[in-house]
Amino acid sequence: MADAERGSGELLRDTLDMLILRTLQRGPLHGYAIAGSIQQRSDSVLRVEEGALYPALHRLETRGLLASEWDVSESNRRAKYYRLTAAGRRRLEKEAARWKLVSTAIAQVMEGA
Amino acid sequence: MPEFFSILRSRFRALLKRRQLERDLQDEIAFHLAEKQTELESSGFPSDEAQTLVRRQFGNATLLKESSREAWLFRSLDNSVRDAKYAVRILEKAPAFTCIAVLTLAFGIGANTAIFSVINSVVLHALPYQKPDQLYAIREAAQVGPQHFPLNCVNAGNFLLWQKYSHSFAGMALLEPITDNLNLKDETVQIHGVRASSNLFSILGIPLQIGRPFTPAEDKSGRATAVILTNSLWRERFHSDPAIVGSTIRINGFPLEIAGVLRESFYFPKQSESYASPIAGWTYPIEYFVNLGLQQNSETRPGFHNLNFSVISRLRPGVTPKQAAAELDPIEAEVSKDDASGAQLHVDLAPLKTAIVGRVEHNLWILMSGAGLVLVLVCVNLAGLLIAKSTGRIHEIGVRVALGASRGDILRQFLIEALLLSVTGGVLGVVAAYAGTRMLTAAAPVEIPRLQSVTIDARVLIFTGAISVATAIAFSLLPALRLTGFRSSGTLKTAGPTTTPTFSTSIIHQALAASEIALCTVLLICALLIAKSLVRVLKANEWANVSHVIAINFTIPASRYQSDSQRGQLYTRLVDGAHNYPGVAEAGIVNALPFKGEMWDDGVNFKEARKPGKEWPTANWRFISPDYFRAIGLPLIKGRYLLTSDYGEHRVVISQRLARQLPHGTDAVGIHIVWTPPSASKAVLYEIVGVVADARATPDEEAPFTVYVPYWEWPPWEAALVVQTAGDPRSVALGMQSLIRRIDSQIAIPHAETMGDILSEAVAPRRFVTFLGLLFAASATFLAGLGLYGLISLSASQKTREIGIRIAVGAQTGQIFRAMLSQAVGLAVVGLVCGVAFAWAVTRLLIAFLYEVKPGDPLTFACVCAGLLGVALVASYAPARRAARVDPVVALKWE
Repeated sequence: MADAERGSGELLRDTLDMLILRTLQRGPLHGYAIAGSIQQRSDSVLRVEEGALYPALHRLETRGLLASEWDVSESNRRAKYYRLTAAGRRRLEKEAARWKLVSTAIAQVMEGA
Repeated sequence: MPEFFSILRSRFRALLKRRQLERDLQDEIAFHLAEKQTELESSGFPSDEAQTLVRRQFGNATLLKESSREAWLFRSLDNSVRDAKYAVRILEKAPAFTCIAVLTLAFGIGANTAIFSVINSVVLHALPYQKPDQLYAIREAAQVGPQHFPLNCVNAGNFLLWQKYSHSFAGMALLEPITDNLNLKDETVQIHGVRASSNLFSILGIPLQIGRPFTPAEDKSGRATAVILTNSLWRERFHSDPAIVGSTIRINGFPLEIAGVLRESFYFPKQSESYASPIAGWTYPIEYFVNLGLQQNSETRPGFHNLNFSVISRLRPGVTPKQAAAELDPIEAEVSKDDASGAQLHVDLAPLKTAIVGRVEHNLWILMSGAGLVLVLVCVNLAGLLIAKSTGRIHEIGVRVALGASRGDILRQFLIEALLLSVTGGVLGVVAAYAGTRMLTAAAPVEIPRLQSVTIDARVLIFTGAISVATAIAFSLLPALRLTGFRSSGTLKTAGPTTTPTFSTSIIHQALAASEIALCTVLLICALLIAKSLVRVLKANEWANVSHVIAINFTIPASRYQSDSQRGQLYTRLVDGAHNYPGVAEAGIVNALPFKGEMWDDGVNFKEARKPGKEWPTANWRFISPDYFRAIGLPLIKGRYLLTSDYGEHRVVISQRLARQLPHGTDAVGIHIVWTPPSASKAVLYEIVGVVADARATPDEEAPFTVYVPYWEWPPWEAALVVQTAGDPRSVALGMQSLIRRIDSQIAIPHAETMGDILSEAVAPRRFVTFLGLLFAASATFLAGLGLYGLISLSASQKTREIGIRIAVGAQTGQIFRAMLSQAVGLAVVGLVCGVAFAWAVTRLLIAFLYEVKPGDPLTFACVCAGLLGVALVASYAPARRAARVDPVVALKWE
């Protein structure tokens, strides 16, 4: 539990936002499922703390990048589902492009002899 | 950028749906916890272990909620709302304090709002004309040797010369107030209007509603031929009939064409507001305009005479009034050269608004200062009360500080409490001010120009808001700062009734109480000086304060009385008829009554007293019937009254002040005056046969020099019938009115007034200011007393332990009582000393308003000091007694 979780707790806020937006690109999800999806797709390397997830979701919603509505979950409970707005889609594109640029640059520096 | 708007939108939505959002957040977290638990349980964890694990992993739910809230809230607004709710609870727990605070604030803020709304509409608002700052009133003044005759009306001939030869003006219009009889189908009414140049309305920039303005030809036609009605007269008397334009009406028996009607929104200053001798209580709203119709030669001869007209002018853009005056002065110099009187004329330009409202502006600002002082007093009082209350809240503040509140948080709390109080007080105050100004406009106890346009508009509300906020800051700052200076640990440990205030607390509170007394002293002294002036004015004019002398003003319809003898006969019949009426002791006529202002002034030329270099005084000329003096009650000083047998003999009577103008030792009786009556072609020599007592034109100024000429020398166009009644004045008044109507049914009769009424109207503005001054002073005294009461009560309760000890070791209750009283008296003395010093300076500003009262009047100062000492004793009596009655056992046991 120790190392991987400590690492995931240090994810930068912007990066978390980007991951959330990407996760929701495939369709609306509730908060628990978003956290689960990120964990699953990163092979449990990235585990999002609830204390970071929900503030991030609310922040994104306030900024108009996400929209929410209440619905019934698969487990037959009432849950708040989030989905991307058009603005969110645009932000995702921008963030993804930037991330690609930065990570390529970092890789170049690291790989160089 | 669009994000910014989304954020704002979300936050506003959050403001409204606060509770909903809180619930949603709760549900969302609950759902997450439930899902997590299900997952753990399905991985094999037992239920309660799963729960604990979930909770632990989730961390501090509260903190999570907090950070979520950060996203959707306005932080400081949220805090303030919370503080406000808390403040409401605190205030509810102290209803007496809250009531006193709100009521005194309402009074203070309301008074300031009311007076400011008057100042706003009367003084600050521009006149409702086009580009009103270009409009100027032109007045003439004359220098005759060393004597200076101040700004007065103008001569029409001089005006025509200015019009012809000056280039600084876009236009200038000549005006003269008139009163006429309007002959309607079934009655004749008196209306007040203005003779005006054809360009008046274009100078003001206000077009007519229907019809046409006067033509330049009508300016010189020599007679009144056209009228323009005001909208209200059109509505009242002509049923708003648009076909009226072009039709004929009869005024004074003459036919005049109705040229046009003005708009409803058209404003014109009341008769006598803008003219040279503005007299309160004698102002009539203007109902119609007549063409100027200057009579050639008699009215158009330039010089230092017939100063009957006013001028409204518009300067050309870019021209300053100084430049314009400089252009007109050479013209005046030329006119002066040709004038026989030897007077040097010059002009003065005054902004039109100043000409209209100037005289009340000073008084209004005085009232505003008074109200301001009262508000300051309210603040000081509340600050003192808050300090007293706050010592009971030390514990509460200590707890808050311990829990992490910053000094700013505590200050904000106090400020919000204060704002709640002052905003509530402000709202009540605005309501009261609105009602007050409505009453003022309706009752009009005093003539304030433009009073009818007084409303509470946006600027007034902003003013009210600003002083409410300023007041709140003022009275909460000191107590709050003092309170937050306490160290938290100290307060928590020693909190309780035995806490004695620090040295500095006492001093501040005492200083506040003393300053209240000082301010109160100033207000009381000023109010009493003003009141004393009023009493002196009334005393000086006591002779007129009678109800058995009545006066009825009327105007002769000019069409049927063109010749002097016709008018003379009318007056003779009138006076005879009045004499024979039962209940009439004396009757007479006069062209202008006392206390209605200086009118009909002209130079007096003494034949025997003409020395080189001696200037002629200007006197008011009055045309009277011989019994006028007896009717109105003016006693004879020397010589004799006029008699009917003086007919044909050219005799006059002069007033006492005028008689004193003669060289020392000369007896006025027998002296001759040289004068040319208006309808004569050459001068006539009049013999003075008597000297009568002075009658004032305004209640608080010296009586003008007066020359009384018998009416048959030149019968005036308008006069007042003065009757001294032996029986019931009301029935005699009715009888006189029907007498006039019987003599000529085309004369419009206004109501009769007693001399007492006339004096009362003339004194009305002074009385009004006195009333307000006393009101402010009384409320200030009440507040100061309240403040002192609060201070002594607090002092006593804080010293309970000390008093208990003193009584236990043998002090008498009397000693304790005296000690507390002397604390109060000591404070009062300090306050009085400061107050007297302050008042000494301030009363200098009132000099213009005082009458026969010195600003440093010792009796007033002494009375106020004694009075306030008394108030201090009364205010501290009850708390001092309570302190002296302290049971030492209880006091010492009290922990």
